[in-house]
Amino acid sequence: MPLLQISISASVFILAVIFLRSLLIHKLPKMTFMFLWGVALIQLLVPVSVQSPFSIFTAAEHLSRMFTAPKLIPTPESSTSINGTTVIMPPITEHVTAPIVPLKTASQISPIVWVWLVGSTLCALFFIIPHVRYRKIYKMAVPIRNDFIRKWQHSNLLWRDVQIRQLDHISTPLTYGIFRPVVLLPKNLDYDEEKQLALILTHEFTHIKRFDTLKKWILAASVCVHWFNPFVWVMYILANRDIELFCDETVIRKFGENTKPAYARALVRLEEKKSGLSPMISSFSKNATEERIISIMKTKKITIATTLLAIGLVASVVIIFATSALDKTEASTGVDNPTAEPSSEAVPALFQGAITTEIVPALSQGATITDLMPHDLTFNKKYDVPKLIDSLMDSKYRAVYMDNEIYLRVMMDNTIQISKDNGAVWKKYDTDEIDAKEFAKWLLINDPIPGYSMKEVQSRLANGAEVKHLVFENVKEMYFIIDRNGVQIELVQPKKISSVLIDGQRMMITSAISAQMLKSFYDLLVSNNILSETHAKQDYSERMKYLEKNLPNFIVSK
Amino acid sequence: MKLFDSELHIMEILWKEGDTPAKRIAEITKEKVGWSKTTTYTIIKRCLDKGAIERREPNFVCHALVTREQAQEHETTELINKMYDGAPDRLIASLLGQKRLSTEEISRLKRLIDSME
Repeated sequence: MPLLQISISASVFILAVIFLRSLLIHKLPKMTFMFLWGVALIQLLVPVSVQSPFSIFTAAEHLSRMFTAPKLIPTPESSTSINGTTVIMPPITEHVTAPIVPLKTASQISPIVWVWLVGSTLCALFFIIPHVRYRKIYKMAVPIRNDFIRKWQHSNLLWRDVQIRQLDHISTPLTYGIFRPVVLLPKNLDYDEEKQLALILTHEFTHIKRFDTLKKWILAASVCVHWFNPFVWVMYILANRDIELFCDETVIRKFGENTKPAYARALVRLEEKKSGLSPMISSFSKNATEERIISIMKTKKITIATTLLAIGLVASVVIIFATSALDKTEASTGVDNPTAEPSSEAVPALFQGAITTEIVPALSQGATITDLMPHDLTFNKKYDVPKLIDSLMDSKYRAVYMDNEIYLRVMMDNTIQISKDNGAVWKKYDTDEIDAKEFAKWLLINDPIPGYSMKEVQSRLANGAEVKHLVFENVKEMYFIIDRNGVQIELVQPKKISSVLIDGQRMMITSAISAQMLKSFYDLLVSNNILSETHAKQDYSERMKYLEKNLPNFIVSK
Repeated sequence: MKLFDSELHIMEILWKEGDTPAKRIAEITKEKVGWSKTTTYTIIKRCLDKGAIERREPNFVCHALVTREQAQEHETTELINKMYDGAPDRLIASLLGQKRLSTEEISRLKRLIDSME
C-alpha cells in the first residue's frame, strides 16, 4: 500500500522536525519551521519522491546490506578454499522465510481500504460540520463603527477585500474566509486602546496576507488522509501553533522589539477575558500559550548567522529525512507504475483453471525479496561440477529442475516442459516475458544467490538475453534468463522447499534435501540421457559424501 | 432575556417600525448590516425560539414580544470561540482539552512577561 509507505517515510521527517523544533523553536526564525512543515505536507499529500544518496533511507539500506551481504555473497577465493565447493550456510533460524507475497484480489476494494475511507470521511466531517455550524454564526456579525479601525483599514489595503466586523459570540479576534476574508473582533475588546487594536489588526491581516486559513485547511486535509498516523496529528497541532508564532514574529518585527511586552500582555489579556468564565485548566493550553509568550518575548533580529544556520539546517534535514533511497525507490515505484510491471497480470499459464487470484511476481515487489530467496547450496560450474554441466550442455536440454511437486526441463529451443507424474508425461508450458532491464535491476538489488558471476549475468541481460517467467499455484516463481550461452534459472520460493536444479551455470540445491530426492534427480538425468548410469552413480555419491561430511544438516530423512 | 447583538438588530427594527414582515426585515438588514437573506432568517428564527418575537400570518409578519427595557444587553457567556476559532485548529485543541486558563496560570504568565522584559 503506497499510502502507508508515504505515511511512514513522512513520519521519519516529521519526527526529525519535531526534534529540531523542541531544541530550536525560540532560536531560529519561525519561517524555518513553516518551511519544514511545508515539506512534510508535500511529502504527505504529493505522491512523488525525490531520491538522494544522502537520504537516511539510503543509509539504512547500506546498513542492512552490511549485515546480510557477507553471508550471502562469498568471494571466489573462499569458494575454492572450502573443498572446492561454494557453500552457503543456511541460517540457524529455520522459518525466517515467511511468505510475504500478498495475494491481491482482482477488482474488489479490500477491507483495509474501506476502513481507511471511512476513517477519512469521518475525519473530514469532524472538521467540516463544526465549521459550517460556526460559519453560520460568524455571518451574524455586525459592522463596527470605529474611526480608528476605519482609518487603519484605509492605510492597510489588501488586494482582497477584507471586512472587519464585530461579533458578541466570540471572545478572541479571529479571521475566516480564504477568498473574501473577514476579521471578527469580539465585543468585549477595549476599542479605545488603539495600540492594542493596531497589534490585533496587524496580526489578523498578516494571517490574511499569508493565506493562513488555507494552510490550516491543507493541514486538516493531511490529517484526514493520514488519520491513522499519530505523527501527522502531532504535526497538525505543532504546525498550527507555528503559524501563530510566525505571525506574532512578523507583527513584532513590524512594530519594533520594544512592543514585545505590550503584545504579550495583550495576548494574556485576551486569555484573561476567557478565563473569567471557567475554572477548567489544561496543561496543553498552558503550554501553547506559554510557548507563544516566550516566543514573543524572545523574538530577536534575524542576523546573517541565524539565517545561515536556519538554511543549513533546513537543507540538511530535508536532504537527509525527506528524500528516499536511491535504487530501492526505483524498484518499488515500479509497483505503482503499470508500464514498469510487465507481468502484473501474470496469471500463471500453468494452473489457469485453479487460480483465481492475481499473483504479483516477486520482481514487481521491489524490496525485501531477499527474504524470499531460498538459502541454498550451490555447486559452481567451473570448480565443483564441470563434468555435470558439460554433460548437460551436450544433451538435448539446457536446464533440469526438480522439487517434490514437479519436474521441469528446458529444451534446446528454450521451450519449457513440465511433468507432474515423476517424468512419465511431459507437457509444454507457456511463460510470460519479462523486461530484461527491469529484471537486471531487480536482480542487482535482490539476488543473493551466488554460484555464478553477477557481472556476467548483467552483461548477458544488457546484451539481449530474454527473461521468461513462470508462476506456480503456491506462489513459487521461476525466472529463466535465456541467450546463446544457455539458460539460467532464478528461483523465488516464498516458502522453503527442497529442490534441485542444474542449468548452464551451476547445480543448486535449495533447502535441506533427502538422499531419496537427490537420487531421483540423478535418475531423471539418466532417463533424459544427460548422464550415463555409471556417471550418475559416481556423481551422486560424490554429492552425498560432500554433504555428509560438511553439511549433515542439509540431508533430511524422508 | 439574553439577546445577542445580531438579535438586537432585528428587535431594533421591530421596536422602531412596529410589526414588520420577515421579507422586509431581510431587506433592511441587507442594506444596513450586510446580512444575506439566509442569515437574517436564521437570526429571526433564533428570536422566535427565544420567545423575543412572534410570527403572525399571513406573510410571516414579526411582532416583538419583549420591550426594549426587557431586552437589556447581557454579557453573554456562550462565547463559542473558546472552543473553535474559524479555522479547524481550535476544534482539535478543544478535543485535546484546550480550555481556558486558570487565574493562577494567568498571573503566572504575567509574571513571566515581567521577568523576561
